[in-house]
Amino acid sequence: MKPQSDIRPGDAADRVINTVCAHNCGGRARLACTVRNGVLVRVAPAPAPDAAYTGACVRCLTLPQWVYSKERIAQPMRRVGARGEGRFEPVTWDEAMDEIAARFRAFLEDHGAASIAFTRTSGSSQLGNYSRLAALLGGGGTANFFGGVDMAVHMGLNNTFGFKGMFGQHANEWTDRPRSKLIIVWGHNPAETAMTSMKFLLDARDAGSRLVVIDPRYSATAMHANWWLAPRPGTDLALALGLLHILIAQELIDRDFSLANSCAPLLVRLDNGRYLREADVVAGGSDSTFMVWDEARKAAVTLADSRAPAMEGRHALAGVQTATAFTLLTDLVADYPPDRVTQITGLKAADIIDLARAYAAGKPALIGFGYGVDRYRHGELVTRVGATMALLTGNVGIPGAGVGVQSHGYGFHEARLGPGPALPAWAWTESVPNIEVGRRESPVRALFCQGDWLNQRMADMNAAREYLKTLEFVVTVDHFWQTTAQWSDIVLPASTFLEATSPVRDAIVVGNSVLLRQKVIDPVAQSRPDADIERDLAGRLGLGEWFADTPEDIVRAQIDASPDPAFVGVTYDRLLQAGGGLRLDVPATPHVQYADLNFATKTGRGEFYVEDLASVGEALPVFVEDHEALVAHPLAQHYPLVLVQAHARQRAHSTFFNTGWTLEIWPEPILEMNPDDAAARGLQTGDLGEAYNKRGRVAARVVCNPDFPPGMCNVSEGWKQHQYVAGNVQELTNNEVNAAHNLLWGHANIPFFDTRVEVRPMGEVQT
Amino acid sequence: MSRLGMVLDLDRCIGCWACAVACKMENSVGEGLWWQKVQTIGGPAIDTSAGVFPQVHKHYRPRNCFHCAEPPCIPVCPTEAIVKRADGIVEIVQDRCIGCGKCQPACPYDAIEMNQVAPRLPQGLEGGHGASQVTPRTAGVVEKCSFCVHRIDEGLEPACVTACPTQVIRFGDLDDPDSAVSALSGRSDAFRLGEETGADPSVWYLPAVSGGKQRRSG
Repeated sequence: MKPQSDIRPGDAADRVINTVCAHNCGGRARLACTVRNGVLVRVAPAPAPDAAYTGACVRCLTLPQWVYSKERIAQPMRRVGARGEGRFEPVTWDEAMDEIAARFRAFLEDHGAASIAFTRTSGSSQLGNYSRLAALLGGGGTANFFGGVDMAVHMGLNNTFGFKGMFGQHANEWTDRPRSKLIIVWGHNPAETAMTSMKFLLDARDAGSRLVVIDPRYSATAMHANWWLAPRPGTDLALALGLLHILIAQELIDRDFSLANSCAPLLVRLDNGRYLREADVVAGGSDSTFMVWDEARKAAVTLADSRAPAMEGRHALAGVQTATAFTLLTDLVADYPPDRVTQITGLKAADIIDLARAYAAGKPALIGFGYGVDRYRHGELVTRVGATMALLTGNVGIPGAGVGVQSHGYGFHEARLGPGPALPAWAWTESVPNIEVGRRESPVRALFCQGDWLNQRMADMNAAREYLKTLEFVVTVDHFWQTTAQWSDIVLPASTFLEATSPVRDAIVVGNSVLLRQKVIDPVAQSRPDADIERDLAGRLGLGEWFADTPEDIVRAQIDASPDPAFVGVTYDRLLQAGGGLRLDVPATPHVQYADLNFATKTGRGEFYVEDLASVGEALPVFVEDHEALVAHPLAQHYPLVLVQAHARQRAHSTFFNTGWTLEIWPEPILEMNPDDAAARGLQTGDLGEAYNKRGRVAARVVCNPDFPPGMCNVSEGWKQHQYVAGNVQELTNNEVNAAHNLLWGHANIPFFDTRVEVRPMGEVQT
Repeated sequence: MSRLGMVLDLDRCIGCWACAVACKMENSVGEGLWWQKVQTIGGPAIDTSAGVFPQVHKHYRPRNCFHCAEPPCIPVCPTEAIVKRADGIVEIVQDRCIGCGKCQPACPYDAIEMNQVAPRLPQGLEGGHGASQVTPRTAGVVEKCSFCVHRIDEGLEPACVTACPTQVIRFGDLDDPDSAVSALSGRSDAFRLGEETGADPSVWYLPAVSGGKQRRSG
């Protein structure tokens, strides 16, 4: 392959190959990788086809250390001691794969496909790997342990605006930020989690946008804001309802926009919580036509027939009491006046009122949520109220406005690759939410695990580890020795996204461009790319016919056969010639979501009232004080500190846990506490402290940091077992199921931050 | 004449250390040594604030060699191993360094690192990483930021400038009145560290002002 970039100096032996970062910060930075004598010696930002998105973060820069880390699994290994003891012997690929195939065959024959489960993490290559094998195995029906992380905030927005995918962002493109008069960054810390996106917020602030950050702690994003508000952890929903209270009570809403584009005027049946349909009041009427009260005709008419729909009102119709959705919302938010919200959030009433008024006066205003609000029991209700604020003030569908999860570089003009290879109809998997694994009867006896599932995808780690012990056979494929590998029977070494056996691994659409993930170096040690492992194992299980295409064949077809008009003129060969990156045929202006004000909801409108949640009392986003982080929770008496896991600059989740350059800067897990909380427990910076609750414990060096309010502490997410003094932060975390999540999506989001602990000096306990 | 220098806008620095890690990678800087560091200006520990919640304050300040116009390190070197180029870059000539360490305390900015032992480079990268033009050092020599002189000689900017995700660092000729660094360093709020030393550094800062003007509600 020819050098594809000329932006780096080097000797004649250097080759610079551009690829795309694969990790789950989501940034998808385009990287210029220098290879010298077959070794990856440098990573730097490569020019993105859309120059606004050129950039890399400190994590990408450590990729050379990550690839050659001493924790790399060099060859296939088989357990020899007791499971979890950590004793393994090297085996050949053939031995390992034959054993997996033989065991899987036996499970299939004796117990059926449902006895085998697959799970995956984002820390190890692509999330899609092994999903084909899982679906095809045994004629379909293997278990798929999935979901439960980072999902609530998206789902709340999906509820309001219509489904846009499991991680639907809904916000305008990042490059739109300077067009906002006001930007509310809520529970989001891109300065430490999505560093390549932070420049857009700084650019907007420096161009005159008012930057407001809502975060209980003084994050590196908060320190750059014009206004920082710090509600108590877990009280975002109450704050949002308080803001909505002010917007409605002080008549700061855009009634015309709300009437035309939201569910505000739709009538709701008070007997069953459903929207009133034509069929409810007119014999032979439609069941998909929604009713409003017409002011002029003083009657209930269909939405399409009404020239003067009423925003407020209660009416008895055909023997059923009804009210408009807006009237019900007004009733709800009447319960959240500033003085009550002050009690819950700790914010001053005047600040709450000011923020609501600033939002109303700040049009076009953006609300950009992050995963800080996701990890509590009702994360989806927080984004629903944010979406309601945007709908009622007309901050949807215009430049500078919007509401969404702005976790990373999404919100682009949509463009899709063509489909990958098809699966037969009989191939399928049975979804099992991670949070339910081990907690309900299950036929699963064997687990095929990609990445460190135990450390990263499960709360209440002690319970999850007990579950692993009950399994008869566990296979883990990973780059590094991590916790789940230690608890496995067979461990397979996977190549990283930089290593490949073919010139191209896959293609992605990001930043209004299509980019190739190209081979940078040969596989390290005996590792193999996941696609090769999957194909090999499929062959040994008699499923080889479904894996005939090479990754390069698949990518070529996805690009050349994309039906998307954005791919006009883009072919696989042209993309290769261009060095692996091409701009797509989409407008050059920043993408504005919902510019057409069409919403893929039942009513075609933005729905702050979600009738399918009436059965669990959440048709409207009500605040219920039922979760662990709140001061009112009974556990607060015994465990007075809320423990969060802020995401750290040095890792994307746990990826890069082992890179020496960043470990020199941030060497070990630390327990960050407000200095007063530490002093009250006899702790100073540098002391060993133990955070504990009924679920487990973690020990770490204490750092007194007044960036945290009293009552809150932090151990950053993604450290590995061998890096802790004792315990693990995931031993402490809450895995309480939210039934409303299960009802709506089939899986509950894990409320990692709804976790209370007490902290004591480490000297008092056994290590 | 030209005088290469930098202006760092601290109001955009997020403390991510991408500059410092890019530098370390580019120049094969061994474990424990840094040509560039990111200081937390706040509490005593990295990333912590001073003050009482919510009236806390901190900001970040990257530090490298300031390539002074009157470098205090040069006259104390007994072997003339530190030289100043016509473009203002202060360079260490590794072959001439005897590791006496006199330059370290002479530097008012703590910019010079000593290789007490041979540089420890990461597993798999023991032969060096980053730019092939930069030879890994040996035990008993000092090292410091070179403004990535090998890149400048090829018409490129220093690695830290390219790596910064929030575009904090501007690089150019301070003597060129049309340069961005000339305009920015001329701003009334631009400042340098240790003016009193007389070293006349070539690295300027723009202050982190947002935190100080910020409204707080907590």
